[in-house]
Amino acid sequence: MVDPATAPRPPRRDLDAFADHHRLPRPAIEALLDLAGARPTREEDLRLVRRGLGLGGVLSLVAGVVFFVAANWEAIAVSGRFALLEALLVAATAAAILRPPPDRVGKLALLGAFLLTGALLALFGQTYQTGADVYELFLAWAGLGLPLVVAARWSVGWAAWVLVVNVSLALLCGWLPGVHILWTVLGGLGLGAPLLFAVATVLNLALWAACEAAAGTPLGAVASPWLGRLVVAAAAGFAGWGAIVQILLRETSGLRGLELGPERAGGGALLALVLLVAGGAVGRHTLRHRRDVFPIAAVGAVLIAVGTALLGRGLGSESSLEAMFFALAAWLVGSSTAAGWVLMGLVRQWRAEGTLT
Amino acid sequence: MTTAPRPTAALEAALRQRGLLPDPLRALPEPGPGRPWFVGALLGISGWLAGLFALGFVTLAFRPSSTAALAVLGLVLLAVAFAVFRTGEGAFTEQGALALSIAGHALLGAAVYVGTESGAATAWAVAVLNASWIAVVPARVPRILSTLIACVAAGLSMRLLLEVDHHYLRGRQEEAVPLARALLGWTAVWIPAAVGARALVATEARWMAAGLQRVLRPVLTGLLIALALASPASHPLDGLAFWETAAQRTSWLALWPLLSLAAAVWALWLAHRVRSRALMGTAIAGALLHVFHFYALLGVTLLAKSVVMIVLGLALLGLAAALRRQEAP
Repeated sequence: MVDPATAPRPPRRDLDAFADHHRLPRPAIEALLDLAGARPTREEDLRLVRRGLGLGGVLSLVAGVVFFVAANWEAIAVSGRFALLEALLVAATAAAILRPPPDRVGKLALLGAFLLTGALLALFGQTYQTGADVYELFLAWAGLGLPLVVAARWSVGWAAWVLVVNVSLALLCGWLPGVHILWTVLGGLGLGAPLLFAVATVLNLALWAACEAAAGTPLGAVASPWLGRLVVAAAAGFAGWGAIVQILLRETSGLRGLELGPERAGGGALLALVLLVAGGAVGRHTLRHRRDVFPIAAVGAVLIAVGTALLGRGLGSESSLEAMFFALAAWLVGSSTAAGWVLMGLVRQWRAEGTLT
Repeated sequence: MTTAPRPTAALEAALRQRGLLPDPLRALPEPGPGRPWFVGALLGISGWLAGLFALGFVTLAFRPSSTAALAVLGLVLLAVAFAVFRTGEGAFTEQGALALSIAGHALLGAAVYVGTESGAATAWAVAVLNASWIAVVPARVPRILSTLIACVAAGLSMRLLLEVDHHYLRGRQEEAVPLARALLGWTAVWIPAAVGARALVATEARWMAAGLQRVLRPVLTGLLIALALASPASHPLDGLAFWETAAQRTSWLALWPLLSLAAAVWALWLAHRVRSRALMGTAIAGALLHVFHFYALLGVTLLAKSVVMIVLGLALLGLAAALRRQEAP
């Protein structure tokens, strides 16, 4: 017999179905919820409160410091502002040295130090007007803060780093292609914005691959499954964004960086190739390890979005609006149903096999 | 192929031992489809978008302009959607019905607006319509969506009702809505939502015993998503602005996102109580968005906001330290 205390905790939907099937009365449901561990214990409640207070406190404090830097308060001289931030950075680092990870104080201190690094860079840019673009600030922040994140050995720290990297990439993808000197060079080679979207997608997929490689190793606790989902979602976001831009806006002259005429069609082909290879690799890896359906869902979401854009573009110039709206509605219903059917099939199969985490 | 034991099998055995299973001869239920949250999100977002395109198709094909025409068309679509939900089998028909129902709701909302020319009345009607739809529609994703839309519509309606001078129509040069009135508008919607979600969590066993889990589970999910993300719907219009083009004036409205932050933290707590990591993640994402909103608003100086955040941070860290000391042996 399986012991409820050691068996995997059933999700709420299974408990709902179980209670419904047996038409359990309230005392039996109370016992069911207790046996299933469906309600957090007082210790778990306290752990959440402790963690929430610590994390919320550090984030609020650092947010306050960032607001302070942005306020550009004249009552404190520039040297004073630098001294203040540097003192905080030193204090956070010292706390991490005194109580190193995996102690929670050390993790929080290093997260604080990573965030303060960004504030310090922002103050530097604000003070000396370096002329750097905002994306460069975020990129420098990610680079300089990387040792702190590595030292923290904490998924939350890595999530903050991933967020900073992706903000940088999003700024670069959204604003810069076509105007930066880098793109003058690359544009001559027929590679424009699509290359950038491809790079952003591949970079996130590389991070996802690292998370996958860490699973089952001592680093698995650092590269939590939710962190892997975060980066694969970011990869899907860039892939979908790039593809939609390429399909719908490539002839729009008003948008910087998107003036991709026929001479740059090679960029679009490159993006398509990268997306196909990347999607195939994600699918193949996920189907082989059978741990999580999320990456397949992300690929499915990109396919639905790209299909919608292709259909809209194809029908937009050749048919009436009514026909286009009808076709798009039908496509979305059909494609999402098909995606749901495939995904649920995998969930059922992998759950039955016991491989789903 | 090995087959993993079902987690509920152990529970059934344990309940049998305690004599708590009323009918020990009934067979164990087959495991349900167990749809993960992201599959539900994919279906919900796709269905919602499909509904908007269906709305475009129906509007262009039938060109309804009067209240009656809009209402009849909306009711027909809702009736068809309801019939398909009740009788249709399979995910395809359910997705199609979801799209039709969204188009139907939009048309009925448009009918109320054309008939009353009142934003508040329209928002109330949308809230009531969605609340009613929750009771009748026999599917999970539409119930979650309707709960979310009902909360947003209730927030908007209360705000529009209280802004009797239609401040929002006259542009941003006018005076901001009075603090007490705006606070009343926020609390009248989101405090009941927060209390309702708490009540659903506290009485979970009771409504499961009454066989209401198919209705109240998605309602709880929708309420928690709304608390995490949707409370800015009740912000006074100026509170939703990011970068002022006019002179930067001092206004309490810039502190408004802190209320949303509190709602998201409450959603986080309740999501923890029902052990939903997906909802906890949604609440955390909502809280971070509200902090960014707080940063971006310019009604209060950044210096003042900096002080608010630093004091809040120190208070939270102090509480964490006190808790740690209390627990230390």
